[in-house]
Amino acid sequence: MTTTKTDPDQPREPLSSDVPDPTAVPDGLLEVTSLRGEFWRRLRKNKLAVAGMIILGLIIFAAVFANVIARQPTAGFFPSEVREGPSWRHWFGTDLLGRDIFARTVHGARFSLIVGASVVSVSLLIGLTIGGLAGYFGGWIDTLLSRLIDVWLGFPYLVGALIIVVSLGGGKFALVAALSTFGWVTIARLFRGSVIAIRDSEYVEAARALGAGNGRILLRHVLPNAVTPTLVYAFALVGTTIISEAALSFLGFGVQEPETSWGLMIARSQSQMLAGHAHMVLFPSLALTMTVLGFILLGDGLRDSLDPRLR
Amino acid sequence: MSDVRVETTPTTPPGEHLLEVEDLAVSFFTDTGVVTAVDGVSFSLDAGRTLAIVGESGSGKTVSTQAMMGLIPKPPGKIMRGTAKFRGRDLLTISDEEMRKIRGREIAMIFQEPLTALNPVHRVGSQIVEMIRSHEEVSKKEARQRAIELLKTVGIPQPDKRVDNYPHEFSGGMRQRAMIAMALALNPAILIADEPTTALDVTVQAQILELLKGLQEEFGMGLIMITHDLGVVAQISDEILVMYAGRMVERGDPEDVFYKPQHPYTWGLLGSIPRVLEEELTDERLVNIPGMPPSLQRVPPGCPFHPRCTFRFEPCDTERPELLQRGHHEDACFLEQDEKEAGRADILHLGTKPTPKPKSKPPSVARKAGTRS
Repeated sequence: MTTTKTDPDQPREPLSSDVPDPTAVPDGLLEVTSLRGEFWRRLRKNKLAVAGMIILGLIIFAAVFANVIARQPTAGFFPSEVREGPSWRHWFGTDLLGRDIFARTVHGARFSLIVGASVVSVSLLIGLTIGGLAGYFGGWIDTLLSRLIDVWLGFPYLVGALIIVVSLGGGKFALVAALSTFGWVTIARLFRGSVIAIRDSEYVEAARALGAGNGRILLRHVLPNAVTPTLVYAFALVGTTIISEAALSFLGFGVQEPETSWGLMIARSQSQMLAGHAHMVLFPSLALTMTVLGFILLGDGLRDSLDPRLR
Repeated sequence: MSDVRVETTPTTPPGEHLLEVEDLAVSFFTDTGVVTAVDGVSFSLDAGRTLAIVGESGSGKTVSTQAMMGLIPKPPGKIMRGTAKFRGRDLLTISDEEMRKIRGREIAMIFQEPLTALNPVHRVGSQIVEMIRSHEEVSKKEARQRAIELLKTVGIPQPDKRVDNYPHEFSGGMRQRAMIAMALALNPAILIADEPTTALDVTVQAQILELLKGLQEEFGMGLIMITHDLGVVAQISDEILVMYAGRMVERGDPEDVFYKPQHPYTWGLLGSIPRVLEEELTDERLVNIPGMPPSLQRVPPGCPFHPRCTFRFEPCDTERPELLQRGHHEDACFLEQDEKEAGRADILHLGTKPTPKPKSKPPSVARKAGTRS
């Protein structure tokens, strides 16, 4: 019988004890490779993803330790220091009220990230549920939910969000609610497509043939295999949500003074652009762009590392 | 092994078969028309016995068992008539939840594609654990111990390490073994193996068949083997059911079906198998069955095989032959017994000197049985 050492399809007759078991695999070869380890290895090799992680790491660090990093007050009125350019004392300069722009930008990161993360979490919850049910069960459930998605997509995003913010009376909660109301739609649509592809796969069929129920099949078999493209999109959605938050704040419907948000800072300073005080717009815009870029780069990296077909 | 298994529920009432399928008919209502996938299939199975359902792609062998297990999508599929009694309960009428409890626990299935039948994102062991825990209240630790035992039973080396492998770290044969382990986890009364060896290398095929046979003896379960390859099941089955175009054409002991086949379609199936034993070697070429299997949307009237049958005569294209006891065993062919003897001898060169080839054969289509029915 000619077999390689690792051939697992060998007969299982017990071998006499003095002969080493030819089916035994050297310990090193049987090292259990975890998917997570494999995933990290791939992610680390992706330079753009690493860049995204570094950018996001810095921004998250800044948001968490905002009080330590930027000690200058973010609220108040400092008549002697208004509209100063960048200096050692004020790295990013000061704004119309003399407040330190570095401090406000750093503190703004906190708000932007919280809004982005909350909106995307809520959207994922709704979107995965609706998309999953539509894709998995098909039939009239799918028809109903898909039409709901179509109707939803018909709304102009920003106008719709505006209306909701206004009708909820503004504030952070209203902002998150408004953005989530529209965030889930694309997630649901994307996830539905992936679920349809996984639904008829052989392992789902096999699991059903061995008595797995719908709930178990959905959570154990369909979700983990179908969720990757949606997760990648969700990462990009954090970025676009932060932009939308900025847009709403810019229009005056998001965060209110004296709280700080990048959109609000840009809005309040736009008139100063042409007056030679570009730094007031530049730094919060830069922070916004870098954050969005970070999320998009990491999202792309995740897609490449998570795709089970590349494994 | 015995200490980690549980006794399954009620025993079969006396005088009844463990599984008894009666006149099963399944159709699919597609956009292009009604597909009659299964039409009047009956069979029975007892504990410890093996039934082989043989036929080429589209003969309805897979659909029969899937319909029985409640696994065909409805719509477009519909069970037109028939019963499938398992321990006295008709599987075709019980609720989805009851059926779910039977699947895996009482009747387990394994499929043709071991390479894709395991979920790629979960460890092999955790999939077996999952399977056990979806039917039984046991701790994760206990279930894992049982998973290791099962992997050992199906011949996976170093099961305590392999249990934590992912499916992509298993070879095809090992994955099929793992699937078998999963199917046997709850000691089912019946195991349905749907072309379990088709996707595997020939050497591995033999091992898997041997394993299935051994496990059947150990566990005493009824086994239904679905295959397109008569050779695969000849040695391991107790009964062979040959299907064609959704209907039964011949049924009997493997001995009878293999050596005294009575239906021209079975002759064709057997004639297409290369014979390698010296005493069987002849100068004859392999026999092809002329033509193609019919579209199940337009099954020919009468005997479904008649357009391809070189022995057809008067009633074949109008009257439908039923599966009846004719000669040694059951078949569905109008030929007289002596005509069958002659035809069989002619096609299979059994016991007679090779007769001269028929003058002109219809153009033959290479008949390699396809992947799945």
